[in-house]
Amino acid sequence: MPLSQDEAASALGEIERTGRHTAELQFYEGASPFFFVWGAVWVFGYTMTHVMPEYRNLFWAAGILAGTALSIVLQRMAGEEKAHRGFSPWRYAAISGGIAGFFALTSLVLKLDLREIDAFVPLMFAGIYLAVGVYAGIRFVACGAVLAIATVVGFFNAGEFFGLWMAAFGGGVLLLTGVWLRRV
Amino acid sequence: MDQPDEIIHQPLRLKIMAALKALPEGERIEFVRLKAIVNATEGNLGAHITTLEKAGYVKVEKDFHNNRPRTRVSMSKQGRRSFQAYVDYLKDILDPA
Repeated sequence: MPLSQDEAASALGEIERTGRHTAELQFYEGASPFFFVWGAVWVFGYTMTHVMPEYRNLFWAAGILAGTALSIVLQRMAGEEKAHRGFSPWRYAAISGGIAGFFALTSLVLKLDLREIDAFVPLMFAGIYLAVGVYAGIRFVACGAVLAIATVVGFFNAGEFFGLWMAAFGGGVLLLTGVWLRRV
Repeated sequence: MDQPDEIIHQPLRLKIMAALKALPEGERIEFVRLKAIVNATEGNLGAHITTLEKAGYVKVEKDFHNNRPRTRVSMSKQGRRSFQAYVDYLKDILDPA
């Protein structure tokens, strides 16, 4: 029996809802491992910034290099799993280098001190997550919002323990987001 | 098409096909993940996946991953064509011109 217009509209609505929901969840799942990697980098970098501030740049450089290398490995594994997706490790290296260069130049131009840089970077990332979340889904928005709030609260209240605060709450937010993104 | 494709038109199979269509072509989704997305029980989903597989609309692959059995489902080329035809059929009903 042919369908009525109401039945056809209902079926199309179901297709649209399920498709959007699936695409969102698949994007979350794909992003999850990267949040674990960079959450761990943040925990390491901010902790070492507090423990051995004189070597902070060295530790951050090591953390960013390790995070970039792990991201490339993760992307390669995902590419093999999905077989059809192109992969360029240079793209990741370029993105990481570009972000690091942007922060370095911005910090120079704005004459930010180290503590301000430690707040500026997570606030920038919070803004990126909020922007991505507009298209990718509410979980990115929530991550960006919580990260921004945690950074501002810590900046004005954590005093000399701001590095440890960001290790716990900045890195922690990324790690918890990684767990959340895996869930259906 | 004068009639809806009855294999696709069943409500749960429609959701399964819509979910698989949302994936890039050739991409597979784990059975447990699909089960949560379409909000079905394991037995119910398994039965409908079998129906779709027999019709040639989906492909089911079973393997071991991290020493655990894993079942993954993807939409076949024929499934994509049939699903698109079904969507076109629905759109024609709403806009006959």
